[in-house]
Amino acid sequence: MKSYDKLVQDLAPKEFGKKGKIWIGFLLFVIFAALIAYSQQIRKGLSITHLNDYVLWGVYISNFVFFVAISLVGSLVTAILRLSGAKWSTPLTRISEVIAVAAIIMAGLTIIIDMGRPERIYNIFLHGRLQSPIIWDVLVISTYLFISLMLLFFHCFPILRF
Amino acid sequence: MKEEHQESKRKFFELGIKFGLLATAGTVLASKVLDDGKTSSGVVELMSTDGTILHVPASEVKEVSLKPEGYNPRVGFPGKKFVMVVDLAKCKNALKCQNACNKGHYITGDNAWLKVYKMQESEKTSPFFMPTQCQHCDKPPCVKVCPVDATFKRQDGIVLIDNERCIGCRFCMAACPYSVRVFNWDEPDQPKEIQDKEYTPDYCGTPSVKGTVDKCDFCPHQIVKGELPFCVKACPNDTFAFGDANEDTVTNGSGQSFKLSKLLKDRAGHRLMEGLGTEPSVYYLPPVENIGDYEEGLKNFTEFESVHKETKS
Repeated sequence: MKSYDKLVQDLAPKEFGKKGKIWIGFLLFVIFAALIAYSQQIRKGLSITHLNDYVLWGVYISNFVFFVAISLVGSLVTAILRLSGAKWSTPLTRISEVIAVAAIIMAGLTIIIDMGRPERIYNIFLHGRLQSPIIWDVLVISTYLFISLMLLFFHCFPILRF
Repeated sequence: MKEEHQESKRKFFELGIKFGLLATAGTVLASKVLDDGKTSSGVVELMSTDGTILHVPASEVKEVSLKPEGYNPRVGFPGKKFVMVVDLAKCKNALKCQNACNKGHYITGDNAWLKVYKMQESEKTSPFFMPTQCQHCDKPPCVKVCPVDATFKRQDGIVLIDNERCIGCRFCMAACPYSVRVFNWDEPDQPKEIQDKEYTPDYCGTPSVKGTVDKCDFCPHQIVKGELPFCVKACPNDTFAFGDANEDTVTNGSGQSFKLSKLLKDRAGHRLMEGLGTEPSVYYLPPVENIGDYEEGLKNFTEFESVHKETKS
């Protein structure tokens, strides 16, 4: 029983120290720099990303696939730990499910970043055609985001239950 | 008193006759003018698609406008099916087609819509040049994958893009097996009068829209004027021929007309990547007995830089 207590102790939330604050500051800086870069892409066009290169043209799309995969793995970890019914794993499922939700939101944003005309996204709802795989993407990601949010709120944070 | 009466009577008759004559002449003249073309008894000679000469009374001949009332650029010209024939034996890589297309469509990006590739079937056969542009497939993969219906197929066989709806996802470029679509990566550097023009999908590239896809539009803007597309007109070697498959005729740059089905049969015409089932509207005639000097054409050849840019000082 002693090792079980130690495990729970290790997984319990830690105090947010100086290191954590520096890390968050660094991440905020990265986000800020990315926002500046994106505003430049909007103003000058996609050519500043050099995606018209024959090698790099699919970088945004591979990024999208990367985020989708991270999200799926997050949900998988949550599911396995839930199904095994281990009580100690609750902190882990919370972390993995939060990562899953964050990654799927990022995946959706990556597709919008990849578009040459992001301000016309409403056309997908006005003139969308089911035969296009892009519409499948939109359907899958929105469904998946909804399911992930449900999992997050109703399983990982029982406090938030209505 | 009696004489006066006689006088006025004579005047009355004189006036009456004059008016009568004038009215008759006027009616005849008016009827001539108004009914001109309807009652003229001329005969017009016409040639049917199978080559027989027909005599048709001129009164029965009516000019039909290509652009009907309420013309919709998404539907296209009624009763047409535009095709192009490219004779590979005649291409010398003069690149006049590409220059004319770039100029006519005000292309300012990095890639032209019409590209000329150098080809060689095998080590033993002679190399040749192959111009390619949008193949205007009857089963276009680009149209199938477009999520917003921005690119579409018209009833006259032309595949066009609505640059005011395109969201710039570039999925059509990935789907196109012929790699003919180009993307406007930058803000197009077009002249002011072109940028201010009213946009229509019928005349692609005037003006170009940043962040959307462009490609060869088969020049419907030239067809309406009764002219051949820019590339067909510009080619000095008559490589291209353009026409209507429903009329079974194609016309080349110097005005010679051919019967399409006979030309394709005699010269073994084929289409690019037939096995994909895209059914293109552009036919190629194999390069037998090449007229051009390959080395001469190689001087013009560039792998990239298909759009000539004026160096800014």
